[in-house]
Amino acid sequence: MIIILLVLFVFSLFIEGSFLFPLLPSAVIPDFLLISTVCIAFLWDEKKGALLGFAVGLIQDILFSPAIGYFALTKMLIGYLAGLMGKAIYREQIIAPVFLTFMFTFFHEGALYFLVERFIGVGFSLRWIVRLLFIPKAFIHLVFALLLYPLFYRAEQKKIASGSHHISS
Amino acid sequence: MSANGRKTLIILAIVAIVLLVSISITEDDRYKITPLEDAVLVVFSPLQDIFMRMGKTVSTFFYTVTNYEEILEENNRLKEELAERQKHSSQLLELQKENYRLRQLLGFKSKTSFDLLPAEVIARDPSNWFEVITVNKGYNDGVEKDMPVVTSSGLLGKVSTVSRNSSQVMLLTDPRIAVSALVQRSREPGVVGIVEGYPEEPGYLQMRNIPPEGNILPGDTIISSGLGGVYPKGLVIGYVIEVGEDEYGLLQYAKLKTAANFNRLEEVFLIRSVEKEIPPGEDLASTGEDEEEKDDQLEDGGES
Repeated sequence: MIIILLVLFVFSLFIEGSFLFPLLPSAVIPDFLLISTVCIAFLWDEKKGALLGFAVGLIQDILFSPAIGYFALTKMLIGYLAGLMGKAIYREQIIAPVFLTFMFTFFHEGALYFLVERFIGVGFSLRWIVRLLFIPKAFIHLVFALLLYPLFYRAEQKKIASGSHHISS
Repeated sequence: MSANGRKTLIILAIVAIVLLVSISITEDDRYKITPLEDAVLVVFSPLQDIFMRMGKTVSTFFYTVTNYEEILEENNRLKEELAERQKHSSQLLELQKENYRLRQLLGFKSKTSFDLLPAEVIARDPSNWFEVITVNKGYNDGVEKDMPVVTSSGLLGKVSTVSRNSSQVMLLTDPRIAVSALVQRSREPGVVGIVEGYPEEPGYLQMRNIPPEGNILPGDTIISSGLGGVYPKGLVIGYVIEVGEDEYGLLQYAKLKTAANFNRLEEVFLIRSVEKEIPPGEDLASTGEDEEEKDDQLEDGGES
């Protein structure tokens, strides 16, 4: 299952970075890795969530980032926090993970804003970034989380029913 | 919090610190990427190429379906234009030969051109945070770090990371890039500014440090000045949209629209070397630099 997930993550990176680029050249592209990390970590726990976020973020760093660590760090933190939330909230209902995906998008983009400002050091206009990046991305992620969370949840339930504790195991 | 939870939190904090250090180390100019990165990119770049081609096919299909009449009209117009241009081509060749002969007689350099390496764009950072594209040529093809990258419309950026069969190109709109530039119309030696990303409106450029008396107007074409050594002189960077004073009122700044369309990047060219003699009749990419050379040489008393 973990191999299938990794293949899916890499596949979604190709969709985001290569397939959608000629189709939607100037649009805000959904971050499927972030949505999946939040949803899966919510179903797993904080440890596995952090590990998952770190792994997918590292691949994203190698493919697209000018330095190693931006996405690995932000997605690892998101995975950890989503895993913690999953322990405290009922996993059966969809509202919590969808709302968390919406909120974690702001957290993820905000953390990236902080890191880019800190390490690259150019004064991006926060107003512009929030209006044209944070808010549209958060709403797009909300819609995709609505579609994806039930799939992840069903896969997790199937695994539990077949005797395995987690889809990762 | 349980002991296990505390342990997880400590490990998380350590990894976070390691990643912060990693960003600060790898953010600086790296001559070479790590073998792990190279291996991942070698495996992934052909797949990125396939996905990009699929995206282009779908995009072209939808564009053709939705703009059929427009494309038909454009096709007819281009056919007429081609017929018209073919009529002039032999005449132009004669003029080119004459121009070359006269330049030789005057001791001017021949047209300056570039040795270009064509490449295809196979990916772009989808996160909107880093203005970086990936092209399908790497060190196996002779690509080196800091090679300038252009399109037929103008300067695009420079190579930032090179792997075996792909390279990352940092676009001009990336805040880490700064290019020394001048106004093509006035070509005043003093009017050299720095072109860099426009932080207030990403996607645009700004030219700053322009002297207050600098002759710069909306609509002017901005070209690279050749200072700094990375970008050769004469590459079109963009066009002035607005001109204003900086926050202290001592210098001018200009907001620029990029010459190259950064949203429609398919084929690009990497500049391997500059200043190549072109015999008449040979069709190589040229720039406005021949005129710059002429001006420079006139200023120097015509000595080459």
